[in-house]
Amino acid sequence: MTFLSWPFAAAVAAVAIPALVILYLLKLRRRDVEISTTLLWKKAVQDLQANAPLQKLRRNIMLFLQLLVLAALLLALAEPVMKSGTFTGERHVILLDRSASMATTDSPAGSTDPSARLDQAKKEALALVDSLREPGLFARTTNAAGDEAMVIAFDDAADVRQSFTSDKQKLRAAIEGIVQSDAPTSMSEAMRLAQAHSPRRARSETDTGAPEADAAPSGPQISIHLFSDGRIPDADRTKPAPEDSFEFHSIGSGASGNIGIVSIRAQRAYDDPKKLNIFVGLQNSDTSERKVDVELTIEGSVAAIKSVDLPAATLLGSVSTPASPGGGTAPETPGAPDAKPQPPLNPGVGGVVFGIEREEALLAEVRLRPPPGSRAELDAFATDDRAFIEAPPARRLRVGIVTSGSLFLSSALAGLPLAELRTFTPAEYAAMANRGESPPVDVLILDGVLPPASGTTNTSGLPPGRFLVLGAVPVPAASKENPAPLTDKGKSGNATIVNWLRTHPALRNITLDSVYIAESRDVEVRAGSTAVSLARTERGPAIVELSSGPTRAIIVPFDIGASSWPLDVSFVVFLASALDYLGGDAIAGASDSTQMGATVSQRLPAGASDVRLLPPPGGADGAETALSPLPDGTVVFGPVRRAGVYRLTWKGGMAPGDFEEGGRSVRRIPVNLLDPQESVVAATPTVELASRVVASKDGTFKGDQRLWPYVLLACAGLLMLEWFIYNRKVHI
Amino acid sequence: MLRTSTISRPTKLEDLLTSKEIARLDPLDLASRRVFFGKLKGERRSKKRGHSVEFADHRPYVSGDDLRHIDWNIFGRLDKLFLKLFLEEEDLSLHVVLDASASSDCGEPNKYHFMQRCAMALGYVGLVNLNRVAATIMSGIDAASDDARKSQPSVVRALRDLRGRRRVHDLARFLCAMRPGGTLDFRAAAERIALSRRGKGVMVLFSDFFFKDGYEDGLRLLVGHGYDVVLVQVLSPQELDPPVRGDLRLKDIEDAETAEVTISAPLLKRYQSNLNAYCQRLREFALRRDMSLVTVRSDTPVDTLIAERLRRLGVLK
Repeated sequence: MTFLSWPFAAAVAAVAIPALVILYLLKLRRRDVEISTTLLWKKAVQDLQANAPLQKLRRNIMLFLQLLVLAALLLALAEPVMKSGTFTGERHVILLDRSASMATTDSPAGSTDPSARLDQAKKEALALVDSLREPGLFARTTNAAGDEAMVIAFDDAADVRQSFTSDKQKLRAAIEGIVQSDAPTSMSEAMRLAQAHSPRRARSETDTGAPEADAAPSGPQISIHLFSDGRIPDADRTKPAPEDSFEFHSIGSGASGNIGIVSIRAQRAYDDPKKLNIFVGLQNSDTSERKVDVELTIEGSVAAIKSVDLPAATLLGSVSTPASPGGGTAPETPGAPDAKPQPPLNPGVGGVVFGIEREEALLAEVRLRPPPGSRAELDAFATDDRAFIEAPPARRLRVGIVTSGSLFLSSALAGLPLAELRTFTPAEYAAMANRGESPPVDVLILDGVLPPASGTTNTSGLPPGRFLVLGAVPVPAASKENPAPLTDKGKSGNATIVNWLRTHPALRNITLDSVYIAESRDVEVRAGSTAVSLARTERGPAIVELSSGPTRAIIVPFDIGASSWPLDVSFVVFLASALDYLGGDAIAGASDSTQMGATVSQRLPAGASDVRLLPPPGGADGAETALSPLPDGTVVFGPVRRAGVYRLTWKGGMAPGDFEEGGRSVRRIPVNLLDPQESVVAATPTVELASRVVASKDGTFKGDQRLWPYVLLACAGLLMLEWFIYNRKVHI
Repeated sequence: MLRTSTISRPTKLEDLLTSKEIARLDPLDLASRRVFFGKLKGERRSKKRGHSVEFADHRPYVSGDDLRHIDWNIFGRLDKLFLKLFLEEEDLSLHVVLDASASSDCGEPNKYHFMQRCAMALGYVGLVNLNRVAATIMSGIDAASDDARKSQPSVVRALRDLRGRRRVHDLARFLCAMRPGGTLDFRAAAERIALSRRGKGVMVLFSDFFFKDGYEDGLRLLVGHGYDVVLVQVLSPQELDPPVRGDLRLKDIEDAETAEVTISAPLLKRYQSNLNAYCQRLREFALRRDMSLVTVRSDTPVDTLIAERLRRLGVLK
């Protein structure tokens, strides 16, 4: 049991109890009078008391007061409310923007509240909830239901925090439970959710079965309340139902300018991997020119500071209203007849490049600071004032080749920037394999050679490691419960490559149209296995990727010596790309940071176990979560909603770029906002929907005023008055 | 009703009766609805045939009658012997009783003071007309004693057999010697009075008759012995119309009994109707017992009471 208004009750008690005690004391303080005899007085009092019921029935003030008290009690039972008429609908959808720009700590005009926009939005939404009409105390018997509301929080995704209910406690808890995200804004999913949860509208029919004259939708009207700063790029793609009212409550100041990082990239020079360039793109949405210091911090220590001048943002010319308000089905929003869309803002852009020489992998942080001498804060929106980037290590691959002599291969590999190229003869390789050793290389190229079938091979027919197999098909000893992914059907005639996966990293940027294969080899890829065909001839797969546990391989079954491929430029590119791909993700010379809201997929080294993810510090979701890797070592998590560095730790080996900390391997995954739209934080007074332009609604919410507490209060006052008069009038 | 705030107690005759009042009392004489036999020859006509000069009747002579009373004129005319009877003139006994309980010491004007003055006036009339006058004070405290609580109130105090104008001052001294106080046991006091009185006559009892134990037993005792009892109920104007308002603790002046009241219009109305009923019952009781009752306010002029009210009752002529 909770006492919702106990301070009020305590206040009343603090007044009423002393008043009662004072009256009681007044009653006791009687004046002493000596009289000749009390004989007649006692008799008179006794007579009066004996006649008391009759006395009360006379026309006296006591009876009148008691009737008033009774009337007040009955009035209180009837639960009077004062209608405010704020809302017309009975169902409300509260859309609450929790996107990155809602973290801006500006305040609306005239207010000095330094809280974030999300807090202001929550406050207004709570005021809306408070103003909802509650069901009566006797709602079950009187069928007087109250308003219902649902709460949807959205950034680039939306989730229903509370479905339709009239329980204000639940609604308040749902609103207060919304946490800030750093993701960009997208409203369409939220609107779809709102419409999906709306009750179906039925056309009411009369008892005779004939539809009513106006055939108006009889479902309850829905009021959609959007609490946002109005920076919603896809607002013009959302279309509320014509009969639903849409109210926009603009949060934040329209004059808020912002400087933010909108892009970041780290790139190593291809020819000299020691040289690392970090590109930072900046955007200024302030209407004045801004000077800003960009600070580069590498692994916690400041490496460089560069000053950048950013041009002022300019307003583009006003645009026409997207939808005509007189369209008939789309009613104009009440209270906003002259709502006009805001002209779009063209922010000033700039950039800065940091060039450093660092061989190892590193985590760089770029932070915007106000120029020296300026005391003011840089801007009210802090999320995009810093960005993280993980630069790959300047490392080259160690490649081994097992060949009986291939001119094409050795000359092609000689041109690649490799750390080491070791050549083994098939006999050497067989001897090593029989000893249970594997060559100390990152990627092993098997040119027409297969590892000896022994216990070390697994279902793919290859030992653990990374392989590029040319002119051979590794076929394991198939068992019934574990059939082989590939079946070698032997050599066949000539063929050309007709189709290939152009998006695969190994085949990117090449064309295989001109490759002619004189002696192809038929291979069958079993559906549902770990083998994927990357390229096909008219006869079947021509290039196959095989991922099986710790083994990854790209298999080219046909003999490249019996094809025109080695003479084609695509062969060298394929070789380099395949080696890069097999050698590992971190070998790439450039890295982009993960976009906000994306799902992150990371491939961990073979044998990684006990994988855990630690989100950036400071968020509500700060707890470490355990992840379970897929069979090929990939872990997937997300969508990420917080800017900062996510840390992935596991037990097991490390890939290039990872480091060890406390006995566990650690990989850092920087996540940044990097959204030019979201970085423009000036609140808009209107929001453009597909069907109408809605202006922000000002003013506070005012719900139905419940009167019964006042009636009860009057009742208590009447009772006290009655008590007082009773003691004034009567007797002993 | 209320205790008299300040009072100057009378000490001598002049405090009780003014010369103007005395002048008005002078032509009056006592009377009784009944005719009683007196002890001494007085100025009052007796039922007894006696030796006054006033002729009463004739009756036939029987042997043994005093020959001196034979009317010889009638014998000369009718030749029959008739005796000539004369009216005897006798004195009349007047007994004045005052209730000097504490409740009499109330009201504005003071009820006891009023009783004292009336008793004095009646006594004066009695003494001047050569009647025997006795005075009794029920309860009361010796006025010479300063501390009312220390001196025991007496049940009754009496002064008897006053006769003649010379004793007026004695009566005044007796009346002034006592001041009201204490609780009156009316039945016990009435018993004492009834046992101690001699002869017959007129008894005038001054009281408010507010006795918690009831007045009936006491009055029955008094009326039994051939006395013509006249009750004078003295009520103060404050008892008739109480001037009290508000929340009060009323305290009985005699037995200190309290009653907490909140004065309201219905309560006052109820009180007054109770008072009227009480007086009415007293009157009916008195009529049944052949007593006279007169109810007076203590602000009534004494000569008005004596010369008009009592005269109308036949106590005075």
